[in-house]
Amino acid sequence: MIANKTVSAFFCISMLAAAGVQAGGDPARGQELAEDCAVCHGEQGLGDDTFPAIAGMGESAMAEALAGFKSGEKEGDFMPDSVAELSEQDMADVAAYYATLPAPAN
Amino acid sequence: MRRVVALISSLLVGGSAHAVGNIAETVHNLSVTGPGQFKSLNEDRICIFCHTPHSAVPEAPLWNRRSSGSIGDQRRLTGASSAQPGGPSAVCLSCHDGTIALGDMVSNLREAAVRDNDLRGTFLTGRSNLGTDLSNDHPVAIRYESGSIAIGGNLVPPAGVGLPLPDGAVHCTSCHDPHDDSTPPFLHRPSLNGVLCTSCHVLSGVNWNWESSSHAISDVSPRSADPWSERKPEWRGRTVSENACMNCHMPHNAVTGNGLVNDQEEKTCFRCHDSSVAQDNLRAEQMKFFRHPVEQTPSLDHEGGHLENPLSTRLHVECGDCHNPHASRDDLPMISFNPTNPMGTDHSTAPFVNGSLAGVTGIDINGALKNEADYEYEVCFKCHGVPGRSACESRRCSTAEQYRMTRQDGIYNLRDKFDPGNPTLVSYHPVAINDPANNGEVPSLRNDIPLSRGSGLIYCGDCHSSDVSPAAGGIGPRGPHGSRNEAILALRYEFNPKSGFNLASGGLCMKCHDAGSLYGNDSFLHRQHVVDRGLSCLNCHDPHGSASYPHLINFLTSSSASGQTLEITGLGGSSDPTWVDTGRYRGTCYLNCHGTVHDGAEY
Repeated sequence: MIANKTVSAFFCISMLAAAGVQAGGDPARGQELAEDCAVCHGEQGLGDDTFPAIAGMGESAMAEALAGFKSGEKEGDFMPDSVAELSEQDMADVAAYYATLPAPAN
Repeated sequence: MRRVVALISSLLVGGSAHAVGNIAETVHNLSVTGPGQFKSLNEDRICIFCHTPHSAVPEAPLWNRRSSGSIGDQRRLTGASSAQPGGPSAVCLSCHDGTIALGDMVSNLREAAVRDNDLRGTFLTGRSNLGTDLSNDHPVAIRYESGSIAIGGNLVPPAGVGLPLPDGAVHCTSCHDPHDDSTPPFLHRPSLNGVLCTSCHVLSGVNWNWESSSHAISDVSPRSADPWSERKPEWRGRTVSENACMNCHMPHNAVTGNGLVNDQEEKTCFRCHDSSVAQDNLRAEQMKFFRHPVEQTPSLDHEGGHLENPLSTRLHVECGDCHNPHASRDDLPMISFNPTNPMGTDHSTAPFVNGSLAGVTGIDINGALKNEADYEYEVCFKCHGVPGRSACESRRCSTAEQYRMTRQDGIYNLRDKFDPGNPTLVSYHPVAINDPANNGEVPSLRNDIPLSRGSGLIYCGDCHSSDVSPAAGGIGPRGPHGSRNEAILALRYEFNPKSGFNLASGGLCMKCHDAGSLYGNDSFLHRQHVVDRGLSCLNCHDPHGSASYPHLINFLTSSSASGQTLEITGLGGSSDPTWVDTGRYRGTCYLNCHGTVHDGAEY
């Protein structure tokens, strides 16, 4: 179906030119920071009737959301204050940690 | 005349109130025999507080009170014209605007030498004191003219109302009978089941009416907290249908210009739609990290979906922009299939709106305003399909404009991504129309879902919905109120161009596309790109549509994630990446993808 030679050439070029993989957050450090998050979202990040589950969220999506709360682009009753003191790396670490937790079943 | 005077005189004698309703047993009896909080300690005549047989003022029959003769500031009502400035309503306000003492009567001057009135310094307080600002009350002293008031419906012709309309106008006495409290609070008809309100208000459209709406027929009672607890028991129903209009509205002392019970529209909805009455907890959906930001629009900046022209109004979103609470009714989920039971029939048919979106305005595929949307995407287009604006402008979106993402075709108005009449459009997801030519080279389309390659259509809500909704295979709240997934997606989709996440494990695209086919490279080297290199789908594909190439190919020419700027450019200084169709399941790329050069790379 697909010419093997062409594929090989394509990927040789690709591998040679591969850029560095994007640096993700540190889940271990994120776990330490997440103690504050657990007050509302629960130890396992599963939330409750008021606070949403955040376990298993996409790392990039969660980092994006946290940055939005911090910048003021996103509003919320609690989150803007909760992330006010977090650095960009802090938010990346927290996002990396929650991405490792199992998401709740639907 | 002599008979009338005799009758009134008899009423003014202490305790002689039997001839006029049951007024002696009501709070309008301010005499020593009155049952209410406000009562005289020394005046035993019941009627004297309003009527006098002699030297009355002309505002009302034998009227014994002075008043300003006018009414205070009222809410703005489109199309309503004023009747006489005060009229019959002004006499009620002589107590109920709180500016004139209950015992401040015309006859006081004449009778001062005979007896003193201990209510001469007592003013009405509490919820019965409407104040002089009547902008939060049902308007009065307005002409009752069928069709003149745009409140999302029409008015019953005057002859059919069956309520007093003094001089052809709505006044306090149109709803209230001050002498008879058998239907509290002094109503001609009960407010329960909307009986009183629908005496005048006709709420219906081409494909909807109030009578069949969930708010009119639901027999659900509060499961937990009672959202109607602040109402007096005699004014409160036991179910949603009994409360009817009063679920959301207050004819007096409302908090918003629309007569709502809460200061923000969504808070009114959340009183019941937090699982305390309605099953779904939409308040919780609004706490999710990705949501339609209804909390960002103060209700006073929102005219109500039926009054606004989305082509010109300020960009915003409120509950009423997508739902008409006078029309909305329970219905099957608005999805083209449920991923947990793909061949089941427990869903409506794309692209038609279901009952939840009944009676909502929309923008059609040609960009024209519609009073009632027929198709789901027409509701979405009100914000996501208006030329010159992008509802996602400040948020990360696969077809973003203002965010740190740039698409090769430079088209960000989503209507232009689905409009088959757009001459530049090359490929698109089948939201408004299916183009079989689009699907001929998409071997990954699953065969175990009820979507025909030749004619199947999908809803926006198949992708954009709550992460616990039927669109995600769940049983939670339906629709795109909120989601744990970015862009309010039902399932995970990766917006980071270099995420490394393998969408095969429950990803959004796999609802319709078979992972085995995709990563088996049936049509393209997906496995090498997505699985091996961790590149997300959106680098090459624009999921809404493309004016660049077939197969939704519309390169993400620039993006920024986690501090990295990632570009897909052409070669030799060209900004345009190039894909050449060389046959069925074959193509050639001439581009620089994030630093990786494809100079004639064939597959």
